[in-house]
Amino acid sequence: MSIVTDIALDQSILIVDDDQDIRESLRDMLQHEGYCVHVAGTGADAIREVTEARYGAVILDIGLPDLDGHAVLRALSQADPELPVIILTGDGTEQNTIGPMTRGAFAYMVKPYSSAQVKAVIRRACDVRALSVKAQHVEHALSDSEERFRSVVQSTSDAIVIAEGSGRIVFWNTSAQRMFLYRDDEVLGQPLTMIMPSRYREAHQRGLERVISTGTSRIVGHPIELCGLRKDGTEFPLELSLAVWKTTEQTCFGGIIRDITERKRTERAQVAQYAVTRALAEAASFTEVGARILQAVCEGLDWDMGAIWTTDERAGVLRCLELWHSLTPAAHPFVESTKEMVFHKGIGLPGRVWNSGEPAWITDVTQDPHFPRAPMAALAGLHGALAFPIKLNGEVYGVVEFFSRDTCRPPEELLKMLGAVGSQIGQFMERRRAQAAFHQAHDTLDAILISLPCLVLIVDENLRVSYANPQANAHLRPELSTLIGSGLQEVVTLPAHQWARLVEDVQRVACHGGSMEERDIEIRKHVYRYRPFPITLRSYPRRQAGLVMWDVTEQKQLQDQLIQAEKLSSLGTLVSGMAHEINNPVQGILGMAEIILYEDDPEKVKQYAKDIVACSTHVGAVVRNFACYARPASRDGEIDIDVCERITEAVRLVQRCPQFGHVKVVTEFQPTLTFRASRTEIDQVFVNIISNAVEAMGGAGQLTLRAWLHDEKVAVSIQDTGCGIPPHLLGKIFDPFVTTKDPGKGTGLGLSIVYKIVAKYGGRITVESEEGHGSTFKIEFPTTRV
Amino acid sequence: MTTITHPAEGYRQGRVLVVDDEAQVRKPISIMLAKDGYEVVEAQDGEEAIEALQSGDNPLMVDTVLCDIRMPNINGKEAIAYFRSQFPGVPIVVMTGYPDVELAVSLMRQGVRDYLIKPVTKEELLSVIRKSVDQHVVLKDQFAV
Repeated sequence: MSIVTDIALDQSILIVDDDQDIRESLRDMLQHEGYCVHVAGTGADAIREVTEARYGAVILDIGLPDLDGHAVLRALSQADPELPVIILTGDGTEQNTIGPMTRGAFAYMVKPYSSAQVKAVIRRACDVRALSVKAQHVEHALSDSEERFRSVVQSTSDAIVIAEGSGRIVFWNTSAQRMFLYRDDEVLGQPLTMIMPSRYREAHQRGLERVISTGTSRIVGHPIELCGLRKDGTEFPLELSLAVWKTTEQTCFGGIIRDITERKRTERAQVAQYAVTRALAEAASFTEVGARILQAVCEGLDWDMGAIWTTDERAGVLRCLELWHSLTPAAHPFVESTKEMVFHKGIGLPGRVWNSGEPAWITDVTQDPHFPRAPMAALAGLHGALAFPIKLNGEVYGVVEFFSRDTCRPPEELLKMLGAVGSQIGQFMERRRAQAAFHQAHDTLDAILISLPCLVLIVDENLRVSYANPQANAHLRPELSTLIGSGLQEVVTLPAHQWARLVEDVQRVACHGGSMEERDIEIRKHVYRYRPFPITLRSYPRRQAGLVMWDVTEQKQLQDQLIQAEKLSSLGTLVSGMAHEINNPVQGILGMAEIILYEDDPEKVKQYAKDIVACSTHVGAVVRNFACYARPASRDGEIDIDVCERITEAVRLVQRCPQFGHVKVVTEFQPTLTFRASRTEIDQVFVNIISNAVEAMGGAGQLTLRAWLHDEKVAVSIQDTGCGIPPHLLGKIFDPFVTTKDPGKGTGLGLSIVYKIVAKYGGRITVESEEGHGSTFKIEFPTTRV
Repeated sequence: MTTITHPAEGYRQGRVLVVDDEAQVRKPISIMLAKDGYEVVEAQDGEEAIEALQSGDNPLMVDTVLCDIRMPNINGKEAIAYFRSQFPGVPIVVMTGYPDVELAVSLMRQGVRDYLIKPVTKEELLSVIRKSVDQHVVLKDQFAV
């Protein structure tokens, strides 16, 4: 329906008369009055006019030639019920007047009419018409707005509930009906409290009173989240926007209620997912985090029980790793059997998920023939079940399973979300696994480094310590809490030449890799043997070097003791020579002295006394030599060694042994061959090799001793014509406890000690031997040492 | 070289061969023996000792050999073995600065009369030599060579 808003409407007049004179005279008159005048000569024309256009008023001659005037009036009224029709009749009988009036004619005029009369009637008719149009306009507007309001109210998915001041429901829409499940007649006129859980009712009452007394509400304009109560007694989360208004009679409330079950579910799912993420991020181990994840997911998504299954690849089964539930004791058998169960691939819900790698659910486990735990689940009141895999890189590490007292029809988003949780857990497990492996490796390494009986230092290219094990700290600088950051020179205090060599070793190793030979250094009265080694880190492009040092003080002492013991053992053989050497002059002394006792001739006595002096001097010299040899070697200082003198002295010492026999000694010495060493150590080298040579010759043969300078080295060769060394022993002749002598005759330590001493002075010893023809030992000592 | 020290007064019957490479050992011993009345022949090693025994008209004229063990060239052990095989009747007294039980036992088994360890006192030396020489002299007389 359209509303005519023609402002000229009430000024437009239709004149219907079959008498043209009357039509013209009336038109002239009314046009002169300012009206817009149309004319019609027949009833049919009149009806058409009124139907097609709208008029402020119609003047109708009742006696028309074509149609009965009354019929025309009826038709006009139908076309426009509000149209004022003024009847013009030449017949002023009552029949002609009352009838049309009752049919809605506006007025009657009986011909002849005065123009004043016509003008007045028309004016009045037009005014009424204008009023009626206005009223119609208002009515249209009102019904339109209500129409719109209703359609909006009814079509919205939000529930709209309107209550009057006392809290009784006076209106609600179809959405509200759907939401709360009540029929209209069950709700209208009832208090609002019937659609809210009892726990809200008191607060609602207080709010209602406050609004009525003060006209304000705390919640108006602020949507709040509450719970609604359905007819079936279930609750659901809702968001309420409240409006309050006053009519003339009372205060009214309008509530726009939105069911936020979905939103809440999504929110809780998000919260659950966040909780899972957080739990995973914070957890140190999976066992620790498992229960937290299950609880978060169960609480967030309204599950009643959750279990995590992990794959046991060896046994080919899934085992329950963790379980969480909020069930009553009736569920105990189900919980316990779940904990105890194992699932093979493809069997049961977890086994199926393991097999497929995809989430799976069972709408109602009590009705599922493939659910082994169905009877116990029924006892626990569980129905819905859902499981999803813990996956990483396509591999299933485990399965997470949930149960609910409700049947389960998971929406797509939930499955997606659980899929995300599954891969999160998978990543976590992998990360933990990697971390655990890393930590284990680290801990193992740490434990090794801490428990090593060695000092381990790592230095960077600036010779700053970047790692030191506790032993290094304790031995090198116990007063410092850490060595890290210290310069190597502060940690390892060495004489200049040893320091220079250490730095060179470390730098060479750092730059070229490989490993260096071991060297001995003395720090804080401890002797350490060190070996540098290269360190190349994948993440650290700059070169570092490690230094492993171990305390060889005791070893050194033992070695010294061993050297001493060996010396004593060779002394045993020398002692016979000594005895002879000493006893002979003593015999002389004793004899002379005894003769003197009975000699009266002063000249003879003098002569004997001279002999005694000579003998005594000899004894003194022998003892002095002997004492030199017997002195511990390690702690006497280094002096310039005259090599030829020491060889000669060694030969003299060995010559006194009984086994020396008739060995011929040949010497070829270059003069003034010297190097720095401990004399007793060098003596030990020569005595050892020469006495071995003499022994090998069995009292007869030739001992050839040579000494010369070769490439700034003192070279010595000691050649015998003895039995030689068997080829199978030649390679290990310098190893300890290797001896060519008869059992019980040699310790097998002599040459190993010789080797150590020679090595100590940076020298080299080699041997050539042919069995049955003799051996040649060649020794080189550097004359200058770094 | 063989040195003969003539016996001093209070002559005792008997001749002693003193074998030692050290003159400072031989000299006082020879003096002591001579003073005790023996005729002393000295040798500085085994070779000279063997020569001395063989060069004489009768090896039995040496009544005791006082012999050192450690000597250059032919040492005491070799010399003693030779004496025992060639002149089994001549008593041998070993005098050594090298006390070696094994050697002592081996020498005693070879028939060495006594074993002296240097340094030896005059008294000890003379008592051993006297017994040895006297016994040899008696034996010589009995067999009336």
